[in-house]
Amino acid sequence: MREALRSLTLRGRAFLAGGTTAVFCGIVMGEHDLVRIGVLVLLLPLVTAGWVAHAGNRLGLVRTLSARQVETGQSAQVQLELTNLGPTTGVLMVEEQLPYSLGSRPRFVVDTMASGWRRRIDYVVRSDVRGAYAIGPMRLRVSDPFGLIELQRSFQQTSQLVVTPRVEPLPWISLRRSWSGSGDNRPRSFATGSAADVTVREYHLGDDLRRVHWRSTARTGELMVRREEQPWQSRCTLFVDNRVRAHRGRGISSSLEAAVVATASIAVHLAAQGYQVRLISATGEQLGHGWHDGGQAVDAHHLLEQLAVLPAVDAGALVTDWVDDAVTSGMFVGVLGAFDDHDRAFFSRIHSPGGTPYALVLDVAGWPAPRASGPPTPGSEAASRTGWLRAHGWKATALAARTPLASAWQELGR
Amino acid sequence: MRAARADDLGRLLPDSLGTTTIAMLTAWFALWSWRGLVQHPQHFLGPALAAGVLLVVAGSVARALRVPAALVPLVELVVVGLFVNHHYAAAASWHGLAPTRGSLASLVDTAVAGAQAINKYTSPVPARYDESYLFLLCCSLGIMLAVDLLACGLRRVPLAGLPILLALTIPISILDSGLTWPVFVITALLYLLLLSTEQSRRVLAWGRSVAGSGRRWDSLDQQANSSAIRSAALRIGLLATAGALVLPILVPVTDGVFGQPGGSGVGNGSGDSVVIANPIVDLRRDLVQKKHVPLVYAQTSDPDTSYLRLAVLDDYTGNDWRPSPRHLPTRNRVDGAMPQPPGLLRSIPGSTASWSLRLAPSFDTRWLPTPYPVRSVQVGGDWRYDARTLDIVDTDPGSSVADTTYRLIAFHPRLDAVRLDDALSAPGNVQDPMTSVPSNLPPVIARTALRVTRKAQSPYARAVALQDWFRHGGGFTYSTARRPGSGMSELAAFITNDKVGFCEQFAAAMAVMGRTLGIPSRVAVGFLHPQPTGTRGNWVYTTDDLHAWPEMYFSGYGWVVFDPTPAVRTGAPPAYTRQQLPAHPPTPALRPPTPKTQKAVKQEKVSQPATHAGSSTGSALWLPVGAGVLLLLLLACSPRLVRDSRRRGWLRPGQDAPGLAAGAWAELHATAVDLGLPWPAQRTARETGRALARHLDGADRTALEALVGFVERARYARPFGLDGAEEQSVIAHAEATVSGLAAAASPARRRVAAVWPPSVFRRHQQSPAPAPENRAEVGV
Repeated sequence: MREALRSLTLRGRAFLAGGTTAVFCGIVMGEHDLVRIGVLVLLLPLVTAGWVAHAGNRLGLVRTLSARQVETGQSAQVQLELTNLGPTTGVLMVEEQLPYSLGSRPRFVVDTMASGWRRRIDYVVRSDVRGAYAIGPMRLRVSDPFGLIELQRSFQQTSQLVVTPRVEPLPWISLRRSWSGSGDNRPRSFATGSAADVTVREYHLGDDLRRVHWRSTARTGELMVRREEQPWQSRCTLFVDNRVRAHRGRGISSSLEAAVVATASIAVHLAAQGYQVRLISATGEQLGHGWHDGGQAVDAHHLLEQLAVLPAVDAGALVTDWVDDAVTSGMFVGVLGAFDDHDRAFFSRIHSPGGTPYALVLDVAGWPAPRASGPPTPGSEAASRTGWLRAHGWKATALAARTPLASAWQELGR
Repeated sequence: MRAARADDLGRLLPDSLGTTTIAMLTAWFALWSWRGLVQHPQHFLGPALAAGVLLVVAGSVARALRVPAALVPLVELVVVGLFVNHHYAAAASWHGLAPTRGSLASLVDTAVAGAQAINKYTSPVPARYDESYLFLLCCSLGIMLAVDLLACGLRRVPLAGLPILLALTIPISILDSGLTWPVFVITALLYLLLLSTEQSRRVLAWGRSVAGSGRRWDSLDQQANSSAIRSAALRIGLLATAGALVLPILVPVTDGVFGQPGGSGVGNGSGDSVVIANPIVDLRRDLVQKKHVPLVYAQTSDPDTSYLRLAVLDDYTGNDWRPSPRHLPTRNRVDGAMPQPPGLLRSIPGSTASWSLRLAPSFDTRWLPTPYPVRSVQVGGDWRYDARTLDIVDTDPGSSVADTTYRLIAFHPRLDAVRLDDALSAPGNVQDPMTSVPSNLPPVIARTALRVTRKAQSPYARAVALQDWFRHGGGFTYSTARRPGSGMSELAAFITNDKVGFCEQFAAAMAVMGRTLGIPSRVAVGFLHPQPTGTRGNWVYTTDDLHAWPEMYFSGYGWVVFDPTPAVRTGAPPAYTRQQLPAHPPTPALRPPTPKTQKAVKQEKVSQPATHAGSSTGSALWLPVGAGVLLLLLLACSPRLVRDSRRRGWLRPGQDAPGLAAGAWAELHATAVDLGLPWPAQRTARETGRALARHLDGADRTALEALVGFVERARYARPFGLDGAEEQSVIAHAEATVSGLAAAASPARRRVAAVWPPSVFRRHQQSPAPAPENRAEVGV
């Protein structure tokens, strides 16, 4: 009741004040009818407050998302299930809090619910901007039939929706790798002499008898064989330069977004081929890392999730402490922007006799600048950078603003 | 485009039509409270409803067609105007529909005439003035249009309550009759329905409509619609309306600060109380014209046929004397016995006489001429009396009073000057309203009244003195040539310089002067003496006999007639005013009353300034109130007083060193508590001092350190004697510290400490002085 009285609207307060004034004037001037009208006007907000306090507004909420992760531009369905935990409610106004990128806030008018009733509400969210978004908390507005009181209630619970960058299908290209003897880059099992032969497993039909591990068989009483299928991991380091200085433009039309799309596409492409992709950003953090978990391939979802929240960092130099033998001797794919002389020293270090680093160099000048000093000038800079990289043993291709990613990737494999 | 319009119409019309209809009905039912204004209210309520229906159709269609919001009221006005024109001025209109210059002029003329009729005639206005219906219809349509514009055009439903309130309160102020409960309930519920309709429209528009199909959510069973809101609204509205019907019964309502007897009738029908034309206007005209028109025929054996009263003017506005609004419920219908006159004791002896009277055909009066007091009256027609004045009014506006015959029994109480002289002061319900004069009354009137009556000792003696002053002491001349009027300035001129007038001025002046002296006074209008006609016992009162005279109130006798108009017009004054008054101490012998002796007696009386009768009762009332206020003030100040006395005790000179130290320390502690400063518990004086020193600076901090040093010395050192200079410096240090702490606190906190020091309500604040034996041990 007190809460309801505190949340009187301007109209409610005006009714209170007007009613009091009328009653007072009626008493002073001796007009019974004025007193009666005043009492009516005065009673209305009070009775309404009592009604609002009496009516229930205790609701339970279960929010279900059709997918926790959606690609940019795709929509996800959100389902709200409201359960009335208290007494019969009045007409409730329900508003879901959403970030602006997910569109306008969905509002619903929920009719009277008796105790224990449920209502299901569906709505669809969709975003053109990658990122991790909180859906909710839901806000409840309790109104009364006369607009005299407005009570606000808020739920605590929120749900997370990750909007991942767009992934473009890439053509298969031949990627040279240090340990690949043939053109087939499928991961192979190692033969003998590895640490893996100390592990055994049960005998499966079709296993070679020569692989039976007799000592374990004697101990367990069942045929045990050595595990020799432990595959070689095809490891790949995927580097994305997400420094502000390396890119141009803002928001979804910036070159950084193109870089993220390219990185995501490459990551998904490589992961589909069985590579363990290690994702590294300009600040050196390992965004996705599955080299030591022994799985077949890193879950591409995990990589995409990381890429969804990849920020543009305002760092000067690249952090290079992640560079080790595995990187220099393994496969390396870099999605680069406009790099300068300082970065060239680092990039020249990546190359080692063992492997060939690949680079997709964004033609940053081709993206429109936010405070445009002039029209985009695609061309020469990116060409000089790719030329430099090639001169240092890289395989590099420029990715212009309008070039399809697939064709640039194809170019890289050539 | 046209298809879209038609679509809009189909979609928006139901909503628009609903709201507009409710708004119109609300306004129309509120207009029912105007029923009492005219004799046949259906003559304006019916057309108003018809016009309202037209207004609803025009308004809702225009809004559904998205006509610009500013144009909709114009469209409605044109439609309603055409209707009124057709209804009232069809003859002058072109084809009975299109208004012409002539039809509009006749409409305006009729409406103006209607307004005048409503102003002129007492409600309910008789049916023959049918132009009043047009005027009321125009007012009704104005209210309806305003409600429609506010509620449906501007969507400000709470504001639409204002024209409705106006419609409901107009009859309160004009009719003085209660708002009947069905009208109140229906109007209130309709208004609340309007409010909730608008609110449910807003609520339903709040939520996003999913997929544009009108579905608010995908729940299986039902859609959100306004029915849930409306049922809740109905429940709340019924509760609030029931409360509004019941609760005001418990609210004590005054009679009004303006002395107007308010419409105290709750739901007892209309037309109980009326404002009636002032008969003194006719009196002036008839007296000046001297047409000798017979007005009342009387047949009686009553020896005293003078002062046949028409009406009582009990309200002095500053411009004139006029009858206050009369309260005339049905139970006050004149039918036989009349109530005992106010103030007249039943034990007062007197004589009765029966009268038979007839009003002349030419006498168009709404007041029934009767003697006063009267025991019973038998008359046909709807005559009612007012309980305070006992004058009798015709409440049937359509009837003709010509040739009304009636019988009555008059009562003549035997009035006695000695008894009147001893009369107690009047009760408050008579004293207060009947002695009120306008606050801007020229002071010369009260001054003159005091001067004239300075030798009189009782209210009655003062009244007699006033009457005699007008009749022969003050040098007044009777003349009907004087311009009529009894305004304040005219009365002031009349009693100071002018001194020429006729009965209206004399009566008005004496009544006003009586009121300034605290004697309840009023003016009565009626006939002075009849002329005998034909046989013995037959009398006729003509226009020449019209007269006005003051009546004054004396407890036990009620309203007593005086006559200040000079003898050239009235002859001798009433007999009791000619009796000799007892001197003080009263003389037993009543000498034959002659003006001379009366004067002589009056001159014997001790001069005594007149006192205002109201003052004694006033002071009696103010005494307990004043005492109560004083007590409250004392209570409010008491903590402050306690605190001050404690401070004086703690810092009084002449204590020994430990006593002074303990006192100074207690004062410091109390100050800290008052100001809300932290006072570390169970700490040494030095630590406490350090905590307090944070709030101080400069000289005050030095004073605190000196004080702490003294306290330490007094507590822990060997007992020492205290000389006067040191004592003074310790007290000065303590006071400096206290004032320094106060200066450091916030102003609000300082005010709290000054008015309501919290330390007074704390216990154990006084740090116990160390026991002497401990000190002795330390000393050893």
